[in-house]
Amino acid sequence: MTTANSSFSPIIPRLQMAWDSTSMGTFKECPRKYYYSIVAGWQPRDMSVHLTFGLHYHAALERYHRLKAKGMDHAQALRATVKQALIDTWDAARQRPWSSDHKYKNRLTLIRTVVWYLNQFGPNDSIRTVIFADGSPAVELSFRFQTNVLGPDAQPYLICGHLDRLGELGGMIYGNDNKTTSWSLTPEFFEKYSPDNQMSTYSFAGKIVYHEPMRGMIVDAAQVLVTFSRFERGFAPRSEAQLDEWYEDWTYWVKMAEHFAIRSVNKQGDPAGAWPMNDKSCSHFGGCPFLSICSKDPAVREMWLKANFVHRTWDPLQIRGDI
Amino acid sequence: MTTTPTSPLGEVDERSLEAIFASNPGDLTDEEVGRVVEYFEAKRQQFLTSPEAKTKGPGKAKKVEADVNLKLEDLGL
Repeated sequence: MTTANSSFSPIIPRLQMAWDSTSMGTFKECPRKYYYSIVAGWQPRDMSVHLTFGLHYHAALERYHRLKAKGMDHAQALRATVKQALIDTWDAARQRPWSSDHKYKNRLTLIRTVVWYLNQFGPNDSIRTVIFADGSPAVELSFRFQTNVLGPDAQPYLICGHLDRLGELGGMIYGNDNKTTSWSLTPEFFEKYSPDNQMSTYSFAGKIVYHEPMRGMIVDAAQVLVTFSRFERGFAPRSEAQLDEWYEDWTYWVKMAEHFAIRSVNKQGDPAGAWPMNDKSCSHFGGCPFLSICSKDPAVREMWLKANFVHRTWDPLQIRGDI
Repeated sequence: MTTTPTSPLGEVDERSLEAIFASNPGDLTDEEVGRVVEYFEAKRQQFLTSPEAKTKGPGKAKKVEADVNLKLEDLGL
């Protein structure tokens, strides 16, 4: 399985070489959770609605920004964005809409959230999208770069991912990331992004890849409920020293992951056992989806995984998943 | 002076919105897409004038939602 994943070493089994914020964030939460979800690629059957919703939402906003950058006015760009979002959420093979029984995240709330967000931030956005020298807007930026940390085979580890947008506000450059949630958008909601692995990864990437003196991230959060969506904008600033600190920590974490991957070579009968559980994280982040697995006897975990989870390859060099 | 009454939901009612959502979007005209946009824009205006728009209480949003008197879910979508 890992050989089919381009983000993993072709030589050392289960050693991830290209790290996005989702992979590292999961590893920091719990090495065992990281093994199950990223290395082994297990995903709960009922979890994909959040990913699907997020991907459509990000795609719609990207499309709007691109159309605006091409000179289309707000109303035209909004209609084109909505039409494409409707098409993207149409199952052509079955001739029916994307079906979601999630009460907050479905086709209707998606379109509503796109329209309402762009009503609020589209025509009068205080953030101005950065336009690169070739005229292209700085939206949906995929990045990857080598670090100075080498793996056991002397190949450098990579940091990779996707940044929603680079924007200018008050003469300063920020990354701009969109989030969807059902939680209230209180100051506490935004406080969780400083420190935060994902926002630090993006800020670091902006500095390295785009040669822009980024001041950090601006988080555009959408609270999506059954009957309404609303939005708040929060800041996740990063100083140069904070980013240096984050990267130094990152080198420590990636070497720890390397240690577990090498350890798993000697645990062929139970590779999961090479990645320790962080049993203080089980109830965090809304509850770990693998709690029902880790609570079982090791001998039957694989059977339970096969029964209740589905496989997907998490390859951050190929897909967008860090929504 | 006479005034023409206008629907707070714009040019599209919920029944026709449901039909638009259920049809192949590749066949939608610009006018129909425009009606979808107008519908949601009208819904937003309706929401912004409601007391709930000012509510940002802490905790899970369920509490806030219970006070909202919009019925989009009646669409059955």
